[in-house]
Amino acid sequence: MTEILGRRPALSFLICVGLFLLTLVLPLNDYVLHILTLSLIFAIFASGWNLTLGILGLKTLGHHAFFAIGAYLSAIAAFYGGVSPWLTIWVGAVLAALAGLLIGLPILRIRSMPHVAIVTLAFAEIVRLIFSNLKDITRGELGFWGIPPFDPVSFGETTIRFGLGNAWGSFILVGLFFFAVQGGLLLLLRSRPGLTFAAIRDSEAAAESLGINFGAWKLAAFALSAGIVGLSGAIYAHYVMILTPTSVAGPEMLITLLAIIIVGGAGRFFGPLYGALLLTGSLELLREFGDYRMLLYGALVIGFVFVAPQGIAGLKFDRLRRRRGHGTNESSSSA
Amino acid sequence: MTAPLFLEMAINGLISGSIYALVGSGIALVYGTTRVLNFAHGELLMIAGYLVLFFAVTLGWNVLLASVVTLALVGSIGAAIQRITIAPLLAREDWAFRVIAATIGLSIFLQSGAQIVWGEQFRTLPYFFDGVVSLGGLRMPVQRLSILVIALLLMGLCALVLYRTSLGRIVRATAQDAEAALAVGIPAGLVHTSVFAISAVLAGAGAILLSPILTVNPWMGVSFLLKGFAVVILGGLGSFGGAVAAGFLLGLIEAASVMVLPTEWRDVVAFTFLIAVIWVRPNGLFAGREA
Amino acid sequence: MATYTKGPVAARRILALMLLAGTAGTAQAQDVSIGVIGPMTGPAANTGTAHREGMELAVKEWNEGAGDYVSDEPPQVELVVEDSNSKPEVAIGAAQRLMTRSDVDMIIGDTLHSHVTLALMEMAPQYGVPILSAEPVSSAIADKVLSDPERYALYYKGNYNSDGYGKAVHGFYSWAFENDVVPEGDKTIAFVVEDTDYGIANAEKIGELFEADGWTVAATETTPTGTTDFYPQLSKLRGLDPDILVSVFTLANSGISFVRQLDEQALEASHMAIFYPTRPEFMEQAPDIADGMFWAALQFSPEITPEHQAFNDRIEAEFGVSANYSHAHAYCTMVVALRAIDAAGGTDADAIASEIGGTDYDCLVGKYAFGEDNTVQSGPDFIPVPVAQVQGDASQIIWPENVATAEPQ
Repeated sequence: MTEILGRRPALSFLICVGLFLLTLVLPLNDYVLHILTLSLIFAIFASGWNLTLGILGLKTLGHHAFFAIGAYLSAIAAFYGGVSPWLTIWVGAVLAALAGLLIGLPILRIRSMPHVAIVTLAFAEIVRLIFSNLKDITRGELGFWGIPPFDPVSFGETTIRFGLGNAWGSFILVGLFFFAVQGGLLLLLRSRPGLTFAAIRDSEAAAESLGINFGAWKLAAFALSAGIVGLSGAIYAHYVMILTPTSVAGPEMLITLLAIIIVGGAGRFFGPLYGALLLTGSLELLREFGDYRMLLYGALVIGFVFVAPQGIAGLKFDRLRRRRGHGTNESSSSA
Repeated sequence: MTAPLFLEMAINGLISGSIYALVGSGIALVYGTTRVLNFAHGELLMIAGYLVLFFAVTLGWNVLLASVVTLALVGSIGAAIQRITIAPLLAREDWAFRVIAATIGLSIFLQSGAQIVWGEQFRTLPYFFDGVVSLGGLRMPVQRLSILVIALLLMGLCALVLYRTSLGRIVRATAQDAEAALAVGIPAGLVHTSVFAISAVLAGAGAILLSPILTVNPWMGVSFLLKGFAVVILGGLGSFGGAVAAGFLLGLIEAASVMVLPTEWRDVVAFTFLIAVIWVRPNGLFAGREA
Repeated sequence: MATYTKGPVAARRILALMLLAGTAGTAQAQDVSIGVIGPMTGPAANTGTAHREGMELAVKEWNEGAGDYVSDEPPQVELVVEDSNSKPEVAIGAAQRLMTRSDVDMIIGDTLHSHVTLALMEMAPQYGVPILSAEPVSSAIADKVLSDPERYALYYKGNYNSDGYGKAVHGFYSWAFENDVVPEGDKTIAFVVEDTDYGIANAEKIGELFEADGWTVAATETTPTGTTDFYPQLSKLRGLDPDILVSVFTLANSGISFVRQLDEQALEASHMAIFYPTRPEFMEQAPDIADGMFWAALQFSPEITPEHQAFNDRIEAEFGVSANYSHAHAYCTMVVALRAIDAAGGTDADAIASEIGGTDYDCLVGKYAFGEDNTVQSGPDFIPVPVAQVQGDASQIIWPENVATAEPQ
């Protein structure tokens, strides 16, 4: 478990919260806040996917389908149903989790990695095409606009507004969601179910011989992972207030998130945060070099796979471990 | 729907199916021999498209010469990709996922690279063959029919090499047991590289056949990669013959779906068919045959 | 000077951003800055580039004292161009950068796409910034303005509605049937259009006008933007055998492939093409595959109109390319914006918007005046929409008769 969480997860978590609070008092302009907000949304996405990819050890490539499901269904419920986004995001998350159950069943039966990778990828393509084709509801690639932002919240005199154009409020809101998800996952991973995840990952046979019904556990973990990704999609929808199927479920989303996971460290608890901040943040600054942005993403993924397959979080861990003189019991990798 | 129209749809299905078969059989060949899933396979298609465009249009070469040079270059590029990015990873732990991640990275890298080098013009080659075959109510340009014929010839040639030559025996031996093959003196590394080259040539041939009809653009490989993967799974991972058969089947299913449903649902039907098959027959439709 | 930022400029900006996140930008020599959002990359990049060049020329002439000013002290103007990549969500991101980082006073966008504009116009109330779209045509945009005029008070549409095309196509065919240019047949019409608001709105408007005359719409086939294989659609249409076939694409490549495959499939319908023949890439190939084809709308023709030739020379001198319709339309849209800002005498959003609304100005392609739906009006008194025919190497206007340059063949 140390390998996943790092040595002092609670402390690292508190440091992150502290840094977040510090950001709030800095005189950041709207543009920087916007980038940080996007980073945190992608960090939630990556944490959810990480649960399956790294921690559960299932190499899926279609989690952007759940992002799209969460985003579109929450947006549809809010736009057509007139329901407040504060409620619809949970609808989006739950429906994404249900979709996770649906696709989780066949892929958990197949153990072969190519099958899992291709089937999940095909599933994401189906989801993208469905949202793209249901034009009467979603307008397809022409863009689903008019998605309401989160309703404003008032504390006495001050009213906090959200959505594009209200950078400060959006950043605080997304930050709260991020820490709630991270905190919840942290508690979960350190509890009995968390240890079960680790057991599944390390040795399915051994876990099975201990009488753990890992089929159900795996399915539950997969649904949770899909639900978290769905939640991040729903938050995204009500922040940017416009969706297109390609922007949420296209190949660019896959590569962006894969890069975040690989650069941050697949299977490492804090990997997604590092990856998201580094990639969304620094590469957004390079947006002026528009054409070269995806080139850089591709090169980064290849580079990290070769040079630092454990990602940034892994680097730190290895160094710490060596300094503290722990055994060289090399992890069974993030497999 | 009239009979000629029905026939026309079926031929259209076989034509796109032949491209899926070309792409899919290449992926299957590589997977069968090396257990590697190459997510940059689609970009070989794209590179071949730009190369043939360059030779045949920019330099104005004869189409046959341009095609041969393109195929030779794409074959070498395929071999280089295997040597530089895939072979070094195979020795490491957890290589299967690392290869997937690295080739996805490579795929995006090549797409954006192409976009920077060649711009975003959607370009098309002039037709190689003029004329339209008109039979009863059926009209089909020779250019389109030639895709089917040439693709069949190429895959037949490939099958001949695989099953009737000593090179083919070596490849199949490596596929069954790389270590045993090595023990009897077959250099597995070299075999892997040549298999990549062959699969790249198959993809390149697909691109050359398509380029007068579809546009050459940086993203042209993406949809064919997904279809190629679907074909490989449907045909039974690693089976060359299975992939060819599944390719034509997928093409026909798509053509049938276009007849019944609006065009935009075609790929939904294709991929749903894939997932349905996985539920029922995880080892593919034609399980039991190997490369 | 326009800044389509690349290279050193970009590096400087990043540095500035890192150093002083939050504080106001460095002092600017310009009084007003205008943001432009258009497809600078992606499949429609050719058109986007033409828009950028047209607008840069307008701003350059304006800043150098060669503009058509309203006041005695016209402001100096800075142009900031952002890319929409033909995607609505990218355009929203671009608008956000223009507002929070470049601090622009007005946005022109999207320069080409209706569907991008439908999303982008939401930014006008969100940020309180005037937005003027350039080439987008779809009536859905104007309908949206009419549905909530107060909300979209800051938004204006710099091109006429889809019914501009509808009336032209319908008017032309009525005339053509009367004069035996085209046989009427059994009154069926079919559409193959790109799957955008532009394509769909055109098909709807044209279909409505023909249906009112007792025609039947046999099929409306939509294809994703960038489609180049039309065999499934054409096979189906050959079975339906329509009398008129209308095709609408914004990408020249789709148009070229469509026209070529139409030729192979030997459909007997009279073919009317919309928009894509304005693209020079199409016209290069047209003599081989499109001889005799009808199309709308020929609004820019240096060969015929001296004023257009003069504009072409200015574009050529500045950018080394020949001008097309998109250059001209973008140029005029920018001039409308510049004059409105000049007349408003400041950067107040409401004042600029109201000045745009009061525009009454003759530019290259016709007279710009906005209707109640904040949309430029079409027709003989405003912006005319003539129908042309490909005749040999060139296109000739064949309708309306009073401006025709040749007889239909």
